[in-house]
Amino acid sequence: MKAIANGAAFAAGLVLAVLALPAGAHAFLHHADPRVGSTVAHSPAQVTLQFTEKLEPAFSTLKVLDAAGKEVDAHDLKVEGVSMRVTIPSPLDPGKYRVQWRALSVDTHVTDGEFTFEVGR
Amino acid sequence: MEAALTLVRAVHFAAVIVLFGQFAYAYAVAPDGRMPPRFRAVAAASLGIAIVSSIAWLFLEASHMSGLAMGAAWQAGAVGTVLTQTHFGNVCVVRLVVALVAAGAVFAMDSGRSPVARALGALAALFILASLAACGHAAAGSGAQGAIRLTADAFHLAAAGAWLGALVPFAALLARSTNAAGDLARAHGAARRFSTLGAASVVAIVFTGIINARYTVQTLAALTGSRYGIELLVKIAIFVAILAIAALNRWRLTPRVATTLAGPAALRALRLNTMLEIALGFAIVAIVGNLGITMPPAHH
Repeated sequence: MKAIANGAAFAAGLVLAVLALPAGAHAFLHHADPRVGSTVAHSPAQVTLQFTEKLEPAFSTLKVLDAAGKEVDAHDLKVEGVSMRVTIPSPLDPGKYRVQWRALSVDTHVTDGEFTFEVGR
Repeated sequence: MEAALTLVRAVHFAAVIVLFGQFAYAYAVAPDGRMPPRFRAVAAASLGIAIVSSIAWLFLEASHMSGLAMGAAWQAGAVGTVLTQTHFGNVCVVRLVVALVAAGAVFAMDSGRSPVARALGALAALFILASLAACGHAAAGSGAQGAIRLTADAFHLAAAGAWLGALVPFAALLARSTNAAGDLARAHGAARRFSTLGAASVVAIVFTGIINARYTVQTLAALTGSRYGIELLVKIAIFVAILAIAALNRWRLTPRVATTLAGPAALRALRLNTMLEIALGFAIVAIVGNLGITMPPAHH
């Protein structure tokens, strides 16, 4: 009986220890700079996206498009750990810009999405 | 695409489990400590299926990752990119190399009389199985958290594979056993040792399973409120059913197998139960084939 009680206490301890572990996260957009849907006063020099999980550089993409759908970034995507970024070679005119992304996480899940930001006058 | 990936993954997991089970059986269950009869044929078939399904899995992932149809992905060189530039592809290469090492070891083994080749084969088979952890959701973590998840998943796979994999040659032993006293005694001994292996596996499976679920599911609401959660619940329900059968085998049937009077009937029941456990075990493997590509609720 004592062995069973000890075993149960041990198992309960293990379960509690496991439940106390930090929770995991995955490759969804965590935050962006410029922020999603924001209006910025000046043209950003780069667009940076932070994700909730490590990314694979190989099949991840990030594009910044103007209102006419023309790509305005420098096609120089850099993927490092959980973040990806492109630089903006020449200052953006005031207006709305669309950011399109596709993220491949290291556990092989593909996620994608888009958002806009605005450069103010 | 999803159906194909599920199928290929399930077939791959099953083949790798059957391969590892041959070794687990020899070390922990076999009455004579030897590899099961027809080991070479089983190992060759399971290794062949494991390698072919691994390559099919790679092609499907190349299509999935690149967002291109299979033919277009091949033409665009996506398969090479996956192999050389992604975590999944790198793991795939290492696992294929180790599969070839396992094949060499199996070839070098001579009905269990070459302990070094056997140990090498067992380690290679264990690696091919446990490294599947690096192909799934557990690969996503980083730092200490990532290490915990990977380790837990690797142990989960090894424990489940030892149990389910060894069940196959164990069932074959029971099928070969006649009602002669010598056969019954041998079956009894093997059943006892199998129960010990099973008990150790259950402890490891439950503990590491809780760790994995803690990361992929996180809340109880997510368990019933997502497809991933429901598939996991079905998996756990089948596991509980296997546990019930295993308990019946351990405490009711196994002690009777050794007795002259009740032995033959107990052996028949044990045979049937073992087949049922194998069927349920591989049903779990089929679910695992899909779970690995289903978005866990923790991702939302």
